[in-house]
Amino acid sequence: MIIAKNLVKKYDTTCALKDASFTVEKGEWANIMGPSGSGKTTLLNLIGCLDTPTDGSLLVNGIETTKLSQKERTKFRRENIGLVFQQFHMIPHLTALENVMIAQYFHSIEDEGEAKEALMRVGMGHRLHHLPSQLSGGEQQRVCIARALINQPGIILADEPTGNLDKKNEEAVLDIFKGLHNEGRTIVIVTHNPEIGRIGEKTIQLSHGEVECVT
Amino acid sequence: MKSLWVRKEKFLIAIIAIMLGAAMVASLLTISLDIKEKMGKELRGYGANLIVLPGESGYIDQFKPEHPAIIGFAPFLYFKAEVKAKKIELAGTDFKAAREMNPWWRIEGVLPGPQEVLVGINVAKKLELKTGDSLSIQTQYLNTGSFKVSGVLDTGTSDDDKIFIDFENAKQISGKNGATSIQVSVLGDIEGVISYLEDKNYKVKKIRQVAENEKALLEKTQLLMSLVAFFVLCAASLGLLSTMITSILERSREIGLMKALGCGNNRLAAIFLAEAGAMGIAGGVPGYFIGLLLAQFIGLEIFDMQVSLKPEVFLLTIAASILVAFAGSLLPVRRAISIDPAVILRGE
Ligand SMILES: Nc1ncnc2c1ncn2[C@@H]1O[C@H](COP(=O)(O)OP(=O)(O)OP(=O)(O)O)[C@@H](O)[C@H]1O
Ligand SMILES: [Mg+2]
Repeated sequence: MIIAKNLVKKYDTTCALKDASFTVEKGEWANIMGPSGSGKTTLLNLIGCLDTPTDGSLLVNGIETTKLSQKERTKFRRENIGLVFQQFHMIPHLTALENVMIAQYFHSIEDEGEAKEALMRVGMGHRLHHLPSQLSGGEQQRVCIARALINQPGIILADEPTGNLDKKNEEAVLDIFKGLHNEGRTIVIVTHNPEIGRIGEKTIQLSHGEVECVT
Repeated sequence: MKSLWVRKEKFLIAIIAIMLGAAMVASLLTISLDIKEKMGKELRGYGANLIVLPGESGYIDQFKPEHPAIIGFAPFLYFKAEVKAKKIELAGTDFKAAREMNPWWRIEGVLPGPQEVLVGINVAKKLELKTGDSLSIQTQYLNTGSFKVSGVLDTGTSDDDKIFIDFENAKQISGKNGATSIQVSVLGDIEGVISYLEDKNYKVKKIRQVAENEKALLEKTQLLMSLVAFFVLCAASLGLLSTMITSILERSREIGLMKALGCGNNRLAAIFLAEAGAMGIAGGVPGYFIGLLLAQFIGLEIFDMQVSLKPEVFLLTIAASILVAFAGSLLPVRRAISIDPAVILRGE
């Protein structure tokens, strides 16, 4: 469960987020929508403890994340959050399997069997030993989802996960997210795509850093 | 997780620099520790402070100095002979006098009497001799009867390569009629003794001074090598620093990602320092062996001494290499830690 109250994030001159308040229930699928520069990524980074708000309160899984030290935030992220990015972000000289296992390594210990299973689940069982450069965009994104899943996080945050994918791959990726949603995981997706917007139970509409409406 | 490390080729230059630095450190340490020890032995060794050599006459037959500063002397007659079918250097001496002038002699056994010999430890090993054995000495003049080994001599100097024999026996065997050199112990007016002996047509060498010159040379060599080692290590450290900084800048996305995936700062630092440590070892180990060769070369060329292996030098060299690698990576690691994943991963 995510409860944001009057979240503010200021960069030197710009105010990326103003007084944002909303709630995302456990197991809910929430979309964050809004024009470019409206603060969607900023908000997602705050939820993912990648960044700290300038002001306000943000409870994630019952923990006041704004009060955590940097070290605690890293630990919190490691244990509660799975991240998926628009640009995939894989380590280029590691294979698909190793890219998944690296998340295990930072979390606890590596387990090749589990990593293979996660890749199988996203339909990448046949590409375990390929380097990112040998994979298509859709395939890379599926590996990244497997990586986000591997430590069984309660919350999955995705920043335009299908922004760089074609229709077919987009559907495949969305199917995986739907599966995760059915398992009861909380999912927060930043998207421009109105079709995805229709899938979720909730949409947080941002405009110029403010929450316009929650539907 | 080793696969996190970047390809090492990029770091080849830095590793080579560490290797050279390690080579300097290893040879410096070997020279310092080993040669100093051996030299100290020789310095301590010379209870005698003058060596008297024959003038024109070839051999010193009657040596009866009358000078109050001369407190003792021991004649030596060096010659080569065949023992057990090997050419060995023999030294005839007056054992009682020689023992007094060389108090550091370590003898396993007893001082020889007539028809007995004292065998240097290296010869003993080479010819497989031990106390109580017999041997015969052959020269062009005669084949002597057997001599009994009364003891084994360990001095840590070139005396270990000789067989010592009674002075009178030596004269008989070698067919020479006097000493080839005489160790003289002087207390006090050493210059007076030198001119007194030179007046008697002897050649005189100051032993302590010879050793002291070598000591000064050793100190100069050490200083020079320390300087070179210092600069090479600094260069190695800087080389590593710049390569690492570049690599971290190139990989900032990866590092940001690693942090986003939950890699804490300590973990991150550990990964980079382990990488640096591995490079330190990769440079240090070959550097050590190169350093040994260098030390051997310097030992032989400059000090005319065989250097021996010192195990502690290996550990010190590796430790120095790792330290240098760590020193070079401190700044880059701080740089890596300061990477903000939120900023990096936003990247377009
Ligand atoms: N590190 C930063 N320093 C300064 N300003 C920043 C920084 N990051 C973001 N901003 C600003 O904050 C505002 C919100 O940015 P954000 O990336 O959250 O928008 P977004 O909604 O994700 O946009 P897009 O749809 O283009 O991804 C923008 O005006 C942006 O320029
Ligand atoms: Mg964005």
